[in-house]
Amino acid sequence: MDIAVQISILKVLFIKGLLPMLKLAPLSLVFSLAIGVFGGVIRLLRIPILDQLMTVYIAVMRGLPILILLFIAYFVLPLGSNPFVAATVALSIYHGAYMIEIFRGGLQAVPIGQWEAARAIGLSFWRSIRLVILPQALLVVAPAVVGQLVILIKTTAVTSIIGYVEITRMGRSLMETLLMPLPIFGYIAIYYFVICHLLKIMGESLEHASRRRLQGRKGN
Amino acid sequence: MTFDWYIVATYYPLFLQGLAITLGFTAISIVTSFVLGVLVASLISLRIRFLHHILEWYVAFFRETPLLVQIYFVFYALPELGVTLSAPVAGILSITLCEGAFFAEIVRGGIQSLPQGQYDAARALALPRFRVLSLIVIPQALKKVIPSLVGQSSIVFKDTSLLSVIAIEELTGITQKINAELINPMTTFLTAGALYIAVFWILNAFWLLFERRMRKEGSEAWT
Repeated sequence: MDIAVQISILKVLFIKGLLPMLKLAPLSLVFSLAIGVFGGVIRLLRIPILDQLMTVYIAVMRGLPILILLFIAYFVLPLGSNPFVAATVALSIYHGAYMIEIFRGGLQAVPIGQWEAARAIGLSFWRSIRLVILPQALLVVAPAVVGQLVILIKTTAVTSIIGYVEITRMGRSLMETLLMPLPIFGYIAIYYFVICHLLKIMGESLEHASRRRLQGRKGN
Repeated sequence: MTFDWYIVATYYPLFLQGLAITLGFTAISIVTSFVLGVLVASLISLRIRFLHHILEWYVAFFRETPLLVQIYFVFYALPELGVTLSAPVAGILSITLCEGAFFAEIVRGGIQSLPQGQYDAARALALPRFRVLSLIVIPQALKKVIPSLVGQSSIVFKDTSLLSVIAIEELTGITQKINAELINPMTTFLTAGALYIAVFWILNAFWLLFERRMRKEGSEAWT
């Protein structure tokens, strides 16, 4: 094992693999969070028709393997056969469905008195959500959102199959030229593990923090 | 490109064949993952020095890396260590290692939630550690986490679609093959997607029945 070769593999995997993945994951996270907030409000208020549509949407996403959804986004939806766009769309709508359930739970956890108080001081519906309800709900949902982000990062690996060049895809092409699958896939696994493990630790400390805050609020 | 019912009508035996293979892999993988998960969780709960650290790292590592990378590792990298496996065996092994870690985490949660009194009572009866585990701890822990076990089993069903990357012709793999022949992704992938969703929810209904049944039996046997 030549050390210089190993270092250059790690470097290529980082620059041409990890960075494109770190472009895809946050973008998909932002879109799925947006879906989660709007869907969560719709489910919370049981807005007719939209609420039923959300139920169907969530049922479809839960039953579908992400790989099939990626194929549909890439080959069927008119997204210009761009792997990055298809991957972003597929990951966003897939994880968005899970975010809706997370946010519905978080919004429900905000006491009804907060809603009444917000409306009583004359805030419009969306402003009371944005300024009063959502900040409190975020505290509740933060750990679950981080948990979903870990799953999202793991599913970015699947986008390699529709040809988005991220770390797993880069690993496959390196393997085909260098014929060293053992170190290559070992490094890839370690990269993913480090990112996901740091996020998990962050999620756990967020959970402690939000539990403390919530308990503090009850004490007041 | 439009949705072509004619393709569905002509090729449905192939889709169903793929679905049967998917279900076969799902059934085998659920059993092996469950056994591995219970085993790992039990060994962790015994707190044997070193071993429980190793197992905790195993659980963390396999839960926090993508299954796809694990499949590639088992299929392409293990031969370098002298372990060459056929695609189906490599597929089942990688799903088992991954989902076994998830099952282990679930069962461990169940074990930790048992009240200390259960252990004290078992010790008062002078039961050896292994029998405390097999007779008292594991049955009660499993009963507590049935919903999570069932949810994880549904995930195993969806996970098997990744086996298509090592040329296994389960539903996703066979759909790609049909699509390569016909080049009508709208028909092929939407058909496969519909099949996955339908079977997922049918399985879910079965799990729910099973769960209710287990709970009823459980309440008679253990309380």
